[in-house]
Amino acid sequence: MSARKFTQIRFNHYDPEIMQDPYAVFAEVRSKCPLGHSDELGGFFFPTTYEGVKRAFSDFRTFTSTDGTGLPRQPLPLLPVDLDPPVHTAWRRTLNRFFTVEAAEADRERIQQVADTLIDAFIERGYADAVNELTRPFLAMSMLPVIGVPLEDRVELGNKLLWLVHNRVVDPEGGMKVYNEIGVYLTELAAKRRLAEQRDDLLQCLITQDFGGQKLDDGQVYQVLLLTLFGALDSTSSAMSGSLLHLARHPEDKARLVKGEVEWPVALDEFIRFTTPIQALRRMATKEVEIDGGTLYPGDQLLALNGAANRDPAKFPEPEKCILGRDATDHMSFGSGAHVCIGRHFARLMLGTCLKTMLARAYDFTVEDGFQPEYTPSEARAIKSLPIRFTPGNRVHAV
Amino acid sequence: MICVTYIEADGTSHDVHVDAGISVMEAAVRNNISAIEGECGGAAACATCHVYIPAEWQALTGSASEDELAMLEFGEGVDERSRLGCQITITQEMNGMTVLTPVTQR
Repeated sequence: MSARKFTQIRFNHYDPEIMQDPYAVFAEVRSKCPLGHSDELGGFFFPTTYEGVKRAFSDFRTFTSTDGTGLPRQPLPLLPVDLDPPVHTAWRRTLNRFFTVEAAEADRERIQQVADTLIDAFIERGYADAVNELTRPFLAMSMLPVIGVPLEDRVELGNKLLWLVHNRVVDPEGGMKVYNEIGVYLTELAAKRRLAEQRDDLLQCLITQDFGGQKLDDGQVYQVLLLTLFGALDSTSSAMSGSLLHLARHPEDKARLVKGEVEWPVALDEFIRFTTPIQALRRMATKEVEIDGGTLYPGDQLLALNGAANRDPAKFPEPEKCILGRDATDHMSFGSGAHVCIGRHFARLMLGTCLKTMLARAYDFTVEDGFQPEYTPSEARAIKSLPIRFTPGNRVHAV
Repeated sequence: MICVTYIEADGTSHDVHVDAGISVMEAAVRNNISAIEGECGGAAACATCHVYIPAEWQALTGSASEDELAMLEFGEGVDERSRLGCQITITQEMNGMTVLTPVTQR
């Protein structure tokens, strides 16, 4: 084979050091041959331009998901994300009705209550860890009930899922143990529901509906539930904590939002672009193809990096700045193509609710000067802890 | 600018003015025509930009490819006028074209 064109660099989305600032790696690659290659995790290529990443997500015939989308491979396929159209399309169209704009809007009141309940727990005190007291429990409390997890199990299940997302690569043995525990739990949850009274929710749909002409077995129900939970936890919570950090450091942006100088939908797109909670999903090349100045061959592993697309200055000028008011509707944080994030309408609603409620109830929240956020590695890049201070306020619900 | 008229199933009509080069799906989404969703962003991978092209405009829009037809099988109310809006690039010649949208994209 003649010399292949790519930029060789050490990149690994599970490396805690690199993931403090992956954008520096992407920028370096983009400035040379924008197709990167790393020898880590078995070796993989990664486009760093917006167009390159978008193609990897969009052209499912050339960049298949059927070899799995986790890097490294998940122990079991996740459904339906590890399928290509048209098989995937049948699944997706069945699941979509639980995730529409209308479905999210119908849940607005409940999500607002989650925000208020969590803020009540620290509002009188004047300080909080916004990650561990607000954004992470926000997601667990909002989304675990949706799939039918009983109240008493939510904290433990949420903690196990978070641990698995961030540690499965650094501790494979512990990862398998937790993976199996979650598997047993979710499979039992599905089995119990088969015997219970019917409800109109996602879990019922997974049990009752046909997917591509067939009913799902308990194992497949588990594969969908696990994906739903992975997608729902340190994704939106990361957008929330990253946005809160920006607002804590930029009181002028708080003022613009509260005065209505920037429309919320516009601001939310920019927050979601800027924070890019989900950083990476794998594809495999099915044919020889040119991308970002290099060539891939069948069987080559490709990592599609949402954050690389979102920080391409050719698409978003001064991409390292969070500029409320810029048009960021084309951001890649939800991916693109057949697998565009199914939960994106819920994510926007939850993020908007979290930020608006904090601005209404603890407007002057700040972080200490010089605060350096530490980010989790893995597909989900999230701030680990965000200590904030604010003028104490009153609860909205009695104790 | 090119004018394309979108007519929804209930008769609601929207004139949009766009530049050549974008797709029938993008033109609708950018102009907030919610009868076209375009969930997958134009990858012919979701069938949520299903439209009907009246016979008199079909010479300009061409016909669906095999891949497009495979995806259209997931559309609701598909007939011989059906296309995926993301697979039709608007050209200058399409000025004045009418596009009909189905009752639902789901």
